[in-house]
Amino acid sequence: MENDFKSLEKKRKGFEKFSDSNKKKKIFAIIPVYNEEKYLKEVIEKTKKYVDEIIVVDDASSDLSSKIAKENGARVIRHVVNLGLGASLKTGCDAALKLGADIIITLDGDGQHDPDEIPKLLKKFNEEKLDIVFGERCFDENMPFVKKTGNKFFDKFSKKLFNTKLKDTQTGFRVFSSETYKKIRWESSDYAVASEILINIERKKLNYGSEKIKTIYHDNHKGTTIIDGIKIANKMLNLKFNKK
Amino acid sequence: MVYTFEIIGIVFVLVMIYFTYLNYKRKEISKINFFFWSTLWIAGFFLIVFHKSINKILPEIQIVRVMDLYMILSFLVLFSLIFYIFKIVKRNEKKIEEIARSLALKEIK
Repeated sequence: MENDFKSLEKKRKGFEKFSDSNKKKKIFAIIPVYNEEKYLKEVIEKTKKYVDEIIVVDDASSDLSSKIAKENGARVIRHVVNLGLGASLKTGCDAALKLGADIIITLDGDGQHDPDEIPKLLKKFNEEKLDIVFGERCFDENMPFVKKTGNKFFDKFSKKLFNTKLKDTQTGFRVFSSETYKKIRWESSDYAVASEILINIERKKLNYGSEKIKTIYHDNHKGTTIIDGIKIANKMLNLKFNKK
Repeated sequence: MVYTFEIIGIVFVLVMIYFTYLNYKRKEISKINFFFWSTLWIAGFFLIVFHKSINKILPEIQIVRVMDLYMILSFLVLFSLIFYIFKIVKRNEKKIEEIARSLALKEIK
């Protein structure tokens, strides 16, 4: 009983410390969505607790994603045509900058990332004074075989090409400052955005870290395909040999 | 003697010249495009009609049959066009992205 109380007290102090360090800082969550009506409500409701504002970028969904986002208090920005993940994230981050964001959190709208892990990422971001923190998934049995193989390949590929240290290069769960965003603003409009962000960070010699997060997959047919994998590899080679 | 492939080839080239001209008249393609495509079709026409004369120069360019020459030329033209179209598609994608993103950001108040 006493131990339980001590652990609760420790957690409370930790949260107070986390809240203090983020005082006055405007935290925005960017959720890019494309036909994500199934899990969006839950994601927004959970995310609300940890951020000042949620921006949902609807990439021309044909379902009720926009409506659900609006009903649950998120600010919705809609693309008139489907542009891809990278373009949606860029639109969301540009909007956040326009609205005066200090800290930007990106997470998926399909429930792949648990918003309850935001404080953990923010804590690392503040305590270690990093430019960006990635939520790193474990390549365990929860990850479908094809995705696991692809992720492992990209881990090795980016290590070889750019000497990156991150294990999960394709993660979409990130915390970074608006200043960092200005430095790493990407060109990719598709799934290659994750690799481009990491490469830009390496090139600008920014400090980055990672925090272990849960591996959640609700739908094996969504997300990156083998074709996207080829596009990502192509983008990485382009970035390697066409230095800006 | 007229070969079947000559007839098919000539009919194809004439149809393509007609469509090129039609598109030009409808102002769907520019004068430069009209001349480019017309030149391409006329070159094809001559290659088909005078394939026997081409036979004479084949040993000099180390090609055995006239059909091989046509295949090589066709591939060269096709790959060049694919590259050109790829460039245009990429450029258009970029433009569409810029327009769609700026429209979306206009909604921010």
